[in-house]
Amino acid sequence: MTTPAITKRKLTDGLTVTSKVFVRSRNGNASKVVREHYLRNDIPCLSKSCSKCFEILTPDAQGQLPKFVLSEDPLNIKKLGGAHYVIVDTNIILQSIDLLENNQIFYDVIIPQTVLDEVRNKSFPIYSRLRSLCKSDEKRFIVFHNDFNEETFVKRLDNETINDRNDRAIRELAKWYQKHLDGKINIVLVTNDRLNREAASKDGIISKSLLEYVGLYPNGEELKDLIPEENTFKTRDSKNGTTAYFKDYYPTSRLMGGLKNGTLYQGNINISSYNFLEGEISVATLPKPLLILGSENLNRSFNGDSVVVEILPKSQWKKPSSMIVDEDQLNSNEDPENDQSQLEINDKERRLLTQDAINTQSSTTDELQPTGRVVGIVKRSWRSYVGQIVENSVSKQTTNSAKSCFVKLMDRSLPRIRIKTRRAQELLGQKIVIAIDSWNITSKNPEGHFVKSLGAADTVGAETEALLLEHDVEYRPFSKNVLDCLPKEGHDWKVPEDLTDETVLKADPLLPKRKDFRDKLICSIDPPGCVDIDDALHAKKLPNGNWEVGVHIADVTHFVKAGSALDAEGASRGTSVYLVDKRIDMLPMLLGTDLCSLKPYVERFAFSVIWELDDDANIINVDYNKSIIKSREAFSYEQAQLRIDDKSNQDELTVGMRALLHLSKKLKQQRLDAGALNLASPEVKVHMDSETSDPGEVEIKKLLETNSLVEEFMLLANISVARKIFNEFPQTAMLRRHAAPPSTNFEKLNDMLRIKKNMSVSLESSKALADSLDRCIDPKDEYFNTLVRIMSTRCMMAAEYFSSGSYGYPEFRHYGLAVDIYTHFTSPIRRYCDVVAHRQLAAAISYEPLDLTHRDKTKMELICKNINKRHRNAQFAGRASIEYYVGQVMKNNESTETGYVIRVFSNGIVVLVPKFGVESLIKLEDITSHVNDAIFKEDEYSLDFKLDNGERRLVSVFDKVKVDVKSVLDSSIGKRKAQLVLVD
Amino acid sequence: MILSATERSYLYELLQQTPPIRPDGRSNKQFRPIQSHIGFLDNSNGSAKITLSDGSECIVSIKAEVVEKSTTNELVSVDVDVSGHRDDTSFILNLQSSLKTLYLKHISSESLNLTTKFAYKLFIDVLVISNYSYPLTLMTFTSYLALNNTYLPKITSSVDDKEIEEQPTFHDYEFNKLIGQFPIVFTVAIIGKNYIIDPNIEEMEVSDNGLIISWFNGKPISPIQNVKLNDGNLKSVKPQLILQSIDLVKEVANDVINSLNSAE
Repeated sequence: MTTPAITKRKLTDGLTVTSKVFVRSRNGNASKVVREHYLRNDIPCLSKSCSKCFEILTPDAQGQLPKFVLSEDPLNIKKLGGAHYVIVDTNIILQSIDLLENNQIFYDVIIPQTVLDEVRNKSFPIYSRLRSLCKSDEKRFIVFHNDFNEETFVKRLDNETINDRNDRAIRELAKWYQKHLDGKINIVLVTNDRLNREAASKDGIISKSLLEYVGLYPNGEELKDLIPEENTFKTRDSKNGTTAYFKDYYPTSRLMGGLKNGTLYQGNINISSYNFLEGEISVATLPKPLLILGSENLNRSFNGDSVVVEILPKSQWKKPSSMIVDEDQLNSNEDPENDQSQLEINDKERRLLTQDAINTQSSTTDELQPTGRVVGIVKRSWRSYVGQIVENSVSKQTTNSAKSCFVKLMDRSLPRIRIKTRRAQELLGQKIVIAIDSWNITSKNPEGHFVKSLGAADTVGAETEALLLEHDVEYRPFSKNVLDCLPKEGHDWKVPEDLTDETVLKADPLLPKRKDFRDKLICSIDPPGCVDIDDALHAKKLPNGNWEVGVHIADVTHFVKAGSALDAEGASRGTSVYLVDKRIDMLPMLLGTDLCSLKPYVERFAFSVIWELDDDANIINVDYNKSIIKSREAFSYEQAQLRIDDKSNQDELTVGMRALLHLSKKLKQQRLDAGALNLASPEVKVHMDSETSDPGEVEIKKLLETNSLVEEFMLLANISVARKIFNEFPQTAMLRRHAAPPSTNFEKLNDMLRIKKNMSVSLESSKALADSLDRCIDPKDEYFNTLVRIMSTRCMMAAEYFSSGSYGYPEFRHYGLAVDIYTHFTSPIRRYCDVVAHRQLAAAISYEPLDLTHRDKTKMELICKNINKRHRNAQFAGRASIEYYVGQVMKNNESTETGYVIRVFSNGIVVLVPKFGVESLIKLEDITSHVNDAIFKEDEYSLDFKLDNGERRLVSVFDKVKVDVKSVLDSSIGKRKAQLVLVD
Repeated sequence: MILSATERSYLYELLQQTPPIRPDGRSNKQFRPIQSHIGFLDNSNGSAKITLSDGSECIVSIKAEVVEKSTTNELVSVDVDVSGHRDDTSFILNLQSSLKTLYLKHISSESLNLTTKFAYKLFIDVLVISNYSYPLTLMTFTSYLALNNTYLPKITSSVDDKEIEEQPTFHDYEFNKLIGQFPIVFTVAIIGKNYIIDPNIEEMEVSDNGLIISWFNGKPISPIQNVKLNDGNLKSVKPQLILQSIDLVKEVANDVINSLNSAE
């Protein structure tokens, strides 16, 4: 390879300038936008078989020359007349990115810039996937900037739609490549657009539909399954003749107009997990969420979609359904056309409706609820979904052609997806990943396509992967450039022995700023078997009688520098995810379990918060330091408890621990006095058989005093740090808030309590709530109080991360902990919030300057949004994992347990079993055959039904019932769950 | 321009002849040659430039904005800038208000209508870069060209939004031409019993009086009024001369309009 002469072109050398003109509609205005557009003649084709492009190479800003990627000997397919490169159009990428990523097909692919831009506008996630495909050399994907190349640029013609212009640009590029490579290598344009293919053949370009192209491969038949639904590419004229099951969405102009004048509403739709035909949407103007009932009104929206809704006429207002509705039960022939003559209502009437809706929702006699209808989708929440093929939807004929079948998704609130596959029989009983392509008005179910199989359902591997995928947890191993950010010494990394050594100082000039706390008697207390030790503690009596208490947190930010690839990966993962048998780390193992982990007997870097506390645990003074510590011991909660309880132990470390315990009790009392809540959730732990990794038994987590000891000091550290960083960075401090629950959340619970137990919970303040919860005691049932706490927890708002500029100070309040300001600081190994808090605190004590990303309000908001989402997903994934394993445990031990009714429907009840922390639906049809004989008293939350032996039985909410717990495999979704059967 | 007494009297004498002898040899109904460009400002919806032989130059840019009809009372706004004159002088304000009245009255609101609720508002920016004679004619001619070549974004959303509100949405590439007739204004200088169209600076300097005559839709319209063309000698005008001047304009107006329409 010859080194090309390096040339730089200036404007004066004849760079061509042209202008792009277009109209941008924004907020009802039409602005004419003119962009200057520079054309170059030095864009290389990046093909190794090209002999011309070396002459025009120019280095980029870093002086790097472009890399030639396309193979000189690409795949030779005879039917295409020899070796070939592929050009794909936008729709191919949007619909079948999975196929492009598949390593059996699609090598040497040219992505025109036109296509790349279109993909970016349509879907950012797919754009990122495409970008990473282009980055990795493995599949030899390149982007050719055809819009900036003199020879391939095409100007939009009058009366030409932008799509036609782009198609023409792609064809022009194909022609150019064909000519440029002197016919040595053929160019194949893959597009499913028939008109485009016709135009291409006129231009003498080889073009194929995706199906045709895949068919050319020897293993094409197998790959054909991965091709998305064909008809998603069809133009809309297929509408004629077939019945439309749904109404078309309103045009954007109508949506915008309606949103602006307040007659339409936008929000995220939340579909009930008990009834897939009932959704709710929170609307700012209405006091309660608006109900969306029935598939016609849900109008193809998915759980979590950002949608626009309108309020329906009063005649269609309904009560929220008290039925459990499962798609399986519904007759598949049911006619979704509800035959309501659709009257056009105008905006004036809609405004009146809004007023009516507010009045109706505010009135206490909650008979009818206003209902709405989805009229537009702003943003789809579509992702990859895990599901299973519904057995009876697979045709019995064994032909080789692709047949439609239904896939039932793990998420019960979503409809079944129709896919076409040739391997339906083979895939039965497997967990499969599918992608959704479209949902037309002529189709009752969304169309999707098969992506990959995770393996047989009900196996640990498939189930774990499925739940990680379902909760969008990144579980792939860390990439090389992330691992490159780790210290070179690996596990041999040590705190330098001589802190004044020249070479050491050169490597870490900040070292002299660290305090040496190696003499302090520090220990850590964690759950047994904990390897990622975030925190350690110490306490020492001061000469003045006060206590010096230190909380030492792993100094993760010493290793994770802002802006590095490692930091970006951590920020995107947001949190570690704890499953029963597996931990998905936020940071690589080396850091989490070794270099950062405050292991005993070794020196480690830490971030220390040191208080001077008086005997009543009032803060006299607080100090923050980066430090070097040496933990003397790592205790489990139980070990620590034993050591403290053992009076004979009078060594200094134990005395310190006793002081910590004593102070923590004072702190807890202070907190409870201020109104901190003691809520409950049925947390259980699954014991694993250490040899076979089979889950053995389930137990409810026990709490020792030492748990509370650690917790109290972590809270104290978090609060102190929150104050400090908020002082220093009033606009961008990383904080955590917990909003007070709106009273409407508690309406139902309070109503149940009032009717059934003549009790109530009060909501004036967290203190009042805490006190009223304490009063909810049933002398005959000691679990009742916990039950109420569990149910209250579900009425609470979720705590969230935020940057301090996003809210006013009064809204910083953490309702549950009853403090005015709070953050997460104490677990930087497993939470990204803590990493940011560490950096901000380090800047606040002038240890090192703060990175720009943590001083920029919008960037901080992006970080918060992501970690909030990740945090939620991690919690759900953890719970799903426990649920799965509890199901596994019960496979072997069926038993009769005590359960509590927590919800009553007209055709079933929901029962919580405290022992296993599981709750499950018991359908009426499973209890008795006299289903139609049941009397549902909604205002009393009870269900009166006739048992098979003729006796009548009344079940109401809060009732203690005996249930048989067993594990069943739900064959339709392949999920093993605890199933409850009412026994008496 | 300052003329000596001799020059002044010589010029005046020549223009008094029958037919008047104009210093540049034109007849009394002849214009100076003009040079025009249109549509050169990409960011505007319409633009035009006219250069006169004496170096006077005017640029007009027309921008359109979508407004709610209920909250906007005027669909045309005019801004005038003449180099060498402050924005707040009566000269500029007069020019501005005469143009505004003219366009408000004669640009039909139907041609700017979008939907029952929305319409376009036109912003006409008139910039006189250099100027050696009374600029109103130049300004209206340039505006005429600009308006005649104004293209408004094409609405794609529903036009009837009386009952159900829609936010207007537009085609990303296509435009509709602004359709309509636009007024122009002629300047006539009166010298003795003679009247000459499009006076140049010397002619203005010695003229007894000036007239502006507006023209729209094939006939003269108001305002027809006198205008001071120089700082010194302003004399009264016989009504007969006014009628004759109007006849002169009638004679040439259609040719002027035709040649403006043929500008490319």
